[in-house]
Amino acid sequence: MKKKLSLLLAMLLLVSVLALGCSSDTGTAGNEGDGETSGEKRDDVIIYVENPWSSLDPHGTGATTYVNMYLTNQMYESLTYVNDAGEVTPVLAKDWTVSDDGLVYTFNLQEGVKFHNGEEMKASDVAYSYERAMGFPELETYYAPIASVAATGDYTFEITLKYAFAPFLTYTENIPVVSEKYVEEGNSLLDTACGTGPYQLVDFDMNTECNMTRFDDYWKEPASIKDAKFKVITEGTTAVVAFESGELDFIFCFNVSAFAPLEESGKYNTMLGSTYHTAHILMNNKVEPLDNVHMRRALAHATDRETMIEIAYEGLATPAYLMANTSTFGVTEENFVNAYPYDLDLAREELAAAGYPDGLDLGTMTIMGGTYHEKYAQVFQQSLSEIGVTIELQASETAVADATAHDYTLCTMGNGFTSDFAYNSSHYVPDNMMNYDNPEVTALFEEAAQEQDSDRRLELYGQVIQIIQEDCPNIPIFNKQIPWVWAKDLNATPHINSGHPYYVYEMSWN
Amino acid sequence: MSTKRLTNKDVVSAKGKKKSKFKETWRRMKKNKGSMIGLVILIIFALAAIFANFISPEELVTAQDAKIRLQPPSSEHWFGTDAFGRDVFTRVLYGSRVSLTIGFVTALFSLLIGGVLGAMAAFYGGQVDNVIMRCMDMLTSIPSTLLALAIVAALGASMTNLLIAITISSIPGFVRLIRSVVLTVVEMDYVEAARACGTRDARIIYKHILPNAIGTIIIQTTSSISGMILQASGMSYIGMGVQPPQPEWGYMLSESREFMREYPYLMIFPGICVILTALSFNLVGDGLRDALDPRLKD
Repeated sequence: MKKKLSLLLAMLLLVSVLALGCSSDTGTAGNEGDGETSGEKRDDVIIYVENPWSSLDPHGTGATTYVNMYLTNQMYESLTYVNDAGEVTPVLAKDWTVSDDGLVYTFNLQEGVKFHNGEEMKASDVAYSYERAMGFPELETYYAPIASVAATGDYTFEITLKYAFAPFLTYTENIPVVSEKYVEEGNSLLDTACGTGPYQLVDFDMNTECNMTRFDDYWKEPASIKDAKFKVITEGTTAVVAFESGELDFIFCFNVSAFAPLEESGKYNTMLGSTYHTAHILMNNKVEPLDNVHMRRALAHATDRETMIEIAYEGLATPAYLMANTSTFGVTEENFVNAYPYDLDLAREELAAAGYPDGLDLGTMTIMGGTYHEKYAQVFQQSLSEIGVTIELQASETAVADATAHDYTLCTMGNGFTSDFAYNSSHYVPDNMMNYDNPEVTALFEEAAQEQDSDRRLELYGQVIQIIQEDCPNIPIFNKQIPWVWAKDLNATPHINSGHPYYVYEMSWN
Repeated sequence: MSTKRLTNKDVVSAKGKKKSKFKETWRRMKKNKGSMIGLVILIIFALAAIFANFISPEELVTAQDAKIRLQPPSSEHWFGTDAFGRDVFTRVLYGSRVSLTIGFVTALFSLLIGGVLGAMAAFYGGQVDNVIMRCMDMLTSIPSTLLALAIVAALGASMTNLLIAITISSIPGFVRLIRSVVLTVVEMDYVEAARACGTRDARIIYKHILPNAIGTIIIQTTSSISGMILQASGMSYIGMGVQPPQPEWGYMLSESREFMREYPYLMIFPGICVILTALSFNLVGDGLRDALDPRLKD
């Protein structure tokens, strides 16, 4: 009797599983036609976010974390915006002038811009925002050249630099403007928001979702989409399934392998968006035997980028030979070359020159979280084993902190760059993650940053790049491309800058 | 009452009789179909792990070939190839070594450490018991997976550290069980008699207490192995265990997760292996429990 009962239960379970499987199939088909069958134009959009957020503060903790920026980008604006061609375009600043010595920047601000709390934006808010931002280490790269800021009128704002810094204007994109009154009233920007952007916050749950609605007093044309929902789904495959069943409208394939089937289906809009991001292998330049340039070159020659891109990124990334690519000012077709092509014989020669003709054990290679780092590290490990170099891979939650503290030998890493090579000084000027220190490079970076003549700057960066390639302080692997996928009837424009990948303001339904 | 009579009888048993006890257990276990199936599966896995070299060369475990990546099962690659173009069958095969090693090593060490601590706590009682058991309370107050995670996070992710972490997190279970078993035995007349004769403590524990507690201990060990293998797989799945490119089943599952929809076979084979191994240990454990349980005799 008992046996029969359990058998029956097992059968029931099986049948229900099967039934569920079938129903989800039909569900997919039904949802695909959602937009058309209802006949009405939608005015909301649901966007995928790959990780939980840590903060909404546009300046403080997490201001440089991509997932947080997806949200703040919709609610806050800065003085300028750098477009995909690398040009600085006005946003809250109507126009600007730069003094002849390159030290004083004067901005004329847009008039009649309202914050979400109804207050009008004045130069004092901008000055307050800059001063506030300068209290947070997260944005230091951007405010480092600033000596002082001042509101010189209701709609004029002035920045004085410590030293001339040619690409400074591009940095103003990264300091969003907040309402002084709102913050001074004691409101926390960690989980509430008050900017001038086209969307205002409705609710925010750090771990699950964030809702925004159109800001009706926006100073430009009102947005086409009324409500925007951001949903956190930490598992890439789940996100793709949710997208296919119509629960999400705009995603990118966290698991790159999911992109090809979605693209081939022809049912969605797809785009491979290039990024300002380099995946690379850090070598601690001050740890034996990696302090020897021949050792580093040997490892570089043993780097099979093609296979790494194929295996780690499904062939959808572009090979990188520097911590930037030709979309960056300072990097040209001539100097963006592979100085160390994959060649195990050359690798062995360099290894012998370093004093290890028979190879050696390099110890542990720290692996950063994220799907692709672990994969190209395994390809690297395999190539190294062919020249007699052994490494042991170890996943680490603290890879970034350890690399910053130079507490590693080899480590996988991912870093962003900007439209100007000046930003790359953070990779090559001490104190950088590679533990690389070449006084010549440091001096050239400094000279180039202060040079106002762009031809001369280009020339100086050419020299820097040549030295860097000779020194081989790290091994750039690839610039990933983001596989964007969104609903057929949705218009959207993904951007190159990983921190500003999309704006709901630019989206609309057909 | 009946237990007391039985144990008394066992103690009197001579060497020859011990052998018959083993035979008796085996005879009764044979009757249990489930446990026999479990045992067969287990033996197959054990043989596969031991003779893996003869079935498929070890180089294939890590040999990458981007040209043949993500191929479905074929006569050449029985379980297909993974994202690196590695032979999944070879990896699953060598994965049994890793998983079984983890299961046996952690079980052995938790048993040894847990056994000694548990026996001491029960035998000496009083302060010793108090100190040991309060320490164990501290450990048990943290969920075992969380504890193992914390240990690995502190020591760094590697196979050795995983073994240490799982051992430590499973010790409290062993201590509690063995203490309780020993407690029941320690109050038996024959133990008291041995004490009265002036027998040394170690000898009493070894000669009189352990043999009478061994049944429960074996059952606990066998059934905990499956839990340990699962825990190790789980830890490797989230990247806190065995490190790439070692072929651990849990890690293989995690690797194939992103290909789940297009290439499900990557997940199916290591998944089946984890399930079968855990299941077989459970079945064997259950069979042993029934066979060794004096109340179920005949």
